[in-house]
Amino acid sequence: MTAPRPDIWPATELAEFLVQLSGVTTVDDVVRTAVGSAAESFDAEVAALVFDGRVVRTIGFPAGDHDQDQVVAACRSDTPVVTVPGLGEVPATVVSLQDPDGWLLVARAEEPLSTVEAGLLAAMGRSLTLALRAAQLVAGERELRQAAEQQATQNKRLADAIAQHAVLEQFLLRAARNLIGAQPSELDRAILATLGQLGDTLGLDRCVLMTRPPDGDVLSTRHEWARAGLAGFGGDLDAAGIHVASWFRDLSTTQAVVIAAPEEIVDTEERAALQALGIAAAVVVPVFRGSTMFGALALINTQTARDWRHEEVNVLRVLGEVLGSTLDRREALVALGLANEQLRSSNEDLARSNEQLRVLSASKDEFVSMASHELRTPLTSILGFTETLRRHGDVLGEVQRDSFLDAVERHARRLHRLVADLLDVSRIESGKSTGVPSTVRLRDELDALVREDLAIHAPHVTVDVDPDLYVFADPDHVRRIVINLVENASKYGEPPIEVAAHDVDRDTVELIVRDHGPGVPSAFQSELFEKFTQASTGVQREATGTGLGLAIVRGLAHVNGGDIRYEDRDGACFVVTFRRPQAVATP
Amino acid sequence: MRERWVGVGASQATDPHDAGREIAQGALSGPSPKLAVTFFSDDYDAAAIRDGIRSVLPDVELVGCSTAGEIAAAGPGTSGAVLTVFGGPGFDVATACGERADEDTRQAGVDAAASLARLVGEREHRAVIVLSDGLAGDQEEVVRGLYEQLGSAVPLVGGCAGDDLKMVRTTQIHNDRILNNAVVTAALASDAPLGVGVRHGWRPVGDPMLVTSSRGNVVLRLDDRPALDVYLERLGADPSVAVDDASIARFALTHPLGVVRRNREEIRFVSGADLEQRSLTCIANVPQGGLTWIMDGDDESVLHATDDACADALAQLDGAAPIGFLAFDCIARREVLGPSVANEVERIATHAGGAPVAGFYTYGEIARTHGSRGFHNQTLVVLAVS
Repeated sequence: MTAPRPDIWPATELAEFLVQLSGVTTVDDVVRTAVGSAAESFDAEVAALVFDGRVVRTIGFPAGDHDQDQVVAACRSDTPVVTVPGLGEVPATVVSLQDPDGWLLVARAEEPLSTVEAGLLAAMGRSLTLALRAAQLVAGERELRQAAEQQATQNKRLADAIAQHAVLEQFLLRAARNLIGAQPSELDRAILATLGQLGDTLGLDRCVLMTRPPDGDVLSTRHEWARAGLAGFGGDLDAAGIHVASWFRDLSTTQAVVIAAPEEIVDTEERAALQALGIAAAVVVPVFRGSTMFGALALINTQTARDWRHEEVNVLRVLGEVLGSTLDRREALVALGLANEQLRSSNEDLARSNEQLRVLSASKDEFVSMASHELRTPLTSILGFTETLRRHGDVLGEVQRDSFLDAVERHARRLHRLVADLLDVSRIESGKSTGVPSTVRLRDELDALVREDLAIHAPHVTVDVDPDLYVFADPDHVRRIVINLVENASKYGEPPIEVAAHDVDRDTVELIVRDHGPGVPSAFQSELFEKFTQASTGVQREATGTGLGLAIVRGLAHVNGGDIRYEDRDGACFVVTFRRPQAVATP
Repeated sequence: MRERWVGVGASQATDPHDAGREIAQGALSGPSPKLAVTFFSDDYDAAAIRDGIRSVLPDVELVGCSTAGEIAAAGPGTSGAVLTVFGGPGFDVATACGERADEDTRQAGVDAAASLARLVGEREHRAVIVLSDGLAGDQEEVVRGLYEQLGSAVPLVGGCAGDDLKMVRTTQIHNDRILNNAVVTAALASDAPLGVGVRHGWRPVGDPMLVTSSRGNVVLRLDDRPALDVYLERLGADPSVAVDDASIARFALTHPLGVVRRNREEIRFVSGADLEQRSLTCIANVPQGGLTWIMDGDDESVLHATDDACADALAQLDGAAPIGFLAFDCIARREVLGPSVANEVERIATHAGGAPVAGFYTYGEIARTHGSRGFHNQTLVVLAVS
């Protein structure tokens, strides 16, 4: 058993001091550990460290209760002493430090430090300054490393940003080319493709183009891209409970609404609505057409928050502008198409009127040729009979001469009527035959007609008209309408011929002339009231009409504010409408 | 009326509340009780003990902790409780606690130092009683935290709480709070001297060993060979003693390491080993680069240290008779003494000269009288109050 040599303990203390110092790296920890460990090493109550005339740390004084000046004074003294609460004056040992300049002080109450201990303290002081320098180097190196790391991080961020920027720029160029180059009919597909490219490029969940009607604030999904495996957004956002009036207010005054995370939405209802829609983060930009905001373009993340980068928001804004102007252009193209259509339609109208004009002109020619023919027939007869009478009058017998003269007279009368009718038609068509309308008591007129002008038809004609029925028309025109229709009936139909009239309503009276003949063949009915239709139909008749009678009747009816139509009623039935006199109420 | 009095109550009652009440009744031996310090078995429910004490002493400052055995004038015990009450107008007391020592051990010491600042009055003689959770971290750091705040003007005395050697969790009481991982202090100020004695009774044997590699409290290599192998060789131990932590701790209880200091050796209790790494785990730092010895002790040397510690404490009383003793005795010393441990308590009682004695078996002792170091292993610390 060997007792320990008394002089080996400093080795343990120095070792412990060094081990403790080597275990710390910051300047603060080096200072604290060195001061504490120096006191412990020497069984001392007090230790202090002074740099640049300032007490950096002490131990042995109650916390915060050391006198700076006395410690610094002790360090500078040749016989250093510190006054310690509870212990009184305690002799101290001081070693000076270099780089940084300072002192390490240790004070032990039991006995002053020995020469060996003072040497140990000096070694500790040297170790302390080295440890401090190491800590400073470590700190500096840490700062440098941090700065380098920051620089590297920043460089990487810049490189990423540049790469991302290039990707976005390419996307924008392609999108603009596709959208602007698209035919109106292909535009929808181009928009959808663009939304898909944007979603893929940015790694998003959804890209949606929403629109609203001009008078509403409900956003409807118009085009939508969603990443694979994600169900579509569907129709109206309104149906999902989001009334987006406030969004539009925001959008029309700002250039973009950016939501990085659901917590950013202050309005709890809006936040709940967005969450119900599965929107965790979004950027929404307005889409303008001209100066009107008609929709919005939205980038959406359904689950995760996203720090939208400035470039991403900008790209979306530019895309919104491109879309707006593209849609505007399509509108213009559609409008141009519409104008073309109108032009085509009016061309067709013109062609149709040309055709009508051509038909009209043709029928005029036909009329002229028919009229010439109609006029020539009696004239030829007249000329023939008169020439025979002149050449052979002296050889003809009395009876024969009379019959020739009768024929001449008959053809002359026919010619006369034909000319009168032609004049009538011409007057009516040129609007010159206006007549002088007055209140006409129909029954009186009809009775007089049957008695006088239609006397020869009287046995077959019945009149059934209320004596108090009045019409407002030119009396002469009324008479000529009735005469024409009754003569027509007697010529083409079978007796009896019924003439009747009655009120239709408070403005209108109908006059009906009906026979019991075979009626007008249906193929002929549509041209019944045209001029010379009788002549052009080829229907073989004994009748000797001018072919103008019904045209004149219709013209006269029109002149007096009425009309005429044909009906099949077990025979031919002509219905003429007249106006009732307004001033004279029905008695 | 006595200016100062110290009373001790002890109980082995099964019910913790009863025990708390009984020790308070036993310790309350004068008017104006100021401070109650309790040590109790880990088997008791601390809250029930506290309630029992409070049923008798509702207003005094209360500190306490669980133990690895209690000491009372009647002798050493386990599964019981003791209470020491300091009373009378001649004492001023204040208490404090630092928590979360498992997270920041030094800061817990700094926080616990607040008790001294809370003391009112200008009494000349002061001491701070420290009860710490020895399982929560490096106890040298607790002492550093306390010293950093208190400085050299006041001695520290106390120990680390125990849990009957289960080494799982210890309990501290600060007034009405039941704590773990805490440092609880009571600052005591008196007009009469307070004496502190610190002795261990271990001697270095053989040649010193150079600690060629260590990390904190783990000794990796001695004389550049695996520490465990060197340690066992030096002691001529059968390798079978190193089967697991418990077997090593049992064997090492009587063979601690010693670290040489300027005028003494500090003991390092070997609490376990890493069988693969062949390293030794100690209760406090063993600095790399320093020298260490195997320490040796026996009944005689340990009991001799008891006498010395008590004598040192009494010597500081300026000839006054003690009115009470507090003893913080390492659990390892009790293991060394075995059945003769009763002799140790008797000796303390003899030194106390009839004054009440209380204390507990600790997981580490705290005593700082001069210098700034104050954490010990396998040591007896006594506080004599006059």
